[in-house]
Amino acid sequence: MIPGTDSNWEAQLRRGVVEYCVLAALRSRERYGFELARSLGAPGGLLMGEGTVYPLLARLRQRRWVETTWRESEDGPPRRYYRLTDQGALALEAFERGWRQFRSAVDRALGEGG
Amino acid sequence: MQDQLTHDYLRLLDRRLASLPGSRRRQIREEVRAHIEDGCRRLAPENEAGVRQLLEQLGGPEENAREAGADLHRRTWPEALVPVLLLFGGFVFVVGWLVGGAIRWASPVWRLRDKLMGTLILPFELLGWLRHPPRRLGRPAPLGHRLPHRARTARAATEAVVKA
Repeated sequence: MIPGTDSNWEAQLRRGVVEYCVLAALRSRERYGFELARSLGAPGGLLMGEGTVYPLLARLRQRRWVETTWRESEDGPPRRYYRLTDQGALALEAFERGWRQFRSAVDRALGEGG
Repeated sequence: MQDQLTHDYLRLLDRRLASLPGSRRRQIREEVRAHIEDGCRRLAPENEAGVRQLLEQLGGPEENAREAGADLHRRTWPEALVPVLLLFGGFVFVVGWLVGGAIRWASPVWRLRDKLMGTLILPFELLGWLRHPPRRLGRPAPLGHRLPHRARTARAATEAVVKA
């Protein structure tokens, strides 16, 4: 398989939606990297490997959809906490609308075929 | 051992991320390092299997670098030079010395002393050779009879030391 051009639909779908799932994980409260990696990277989860969350977070930060702060934590060293920005919240809303439409369109198509 | 595993993983990741801008690369690297530290803190000390599992769950450095959009096939410039050297290296000779010298001076691998020695060794050897060229290449001179000047000096010095 040539890197970056995999034809696997699952991998492509995952790549398309995973960053919005990261945004969704930050909707209720801010979290640090390890937490995010563990919750999204659970077996059968949304990440290929837990480490792939970090390039994702770097990209989201560059887009200003998330922002970070260094803070003392209760059970360890200071950590970088990620928080959803207003811009990120808007992007997430738009994705949610699109995703619902997409999902029902696919469901309809599959239902018609069956 | 745990440190070695972590160190190797991060070094490989660094290499795979080489084509990304510095700030982004540093950010990813720091976060991955913090992740490993966080994970290790949750393990019993000296739990090598645990560390291996932690790194496995992180995924391979290639995977992570690809996710980061790094170009895994980009070569650094000495590597890019390799095909050229392989094609034309046989014809060049003085240029090879210059290129080798340039890479040596540009690289942080050697210390200043080594760089100076490496650069000067050939000119000095050449100078010595020009001043005392071996007479009749290919036919060895009888020992002690036609020894080049330097060898005679060396033998005299050795004899002086032995006598003393």
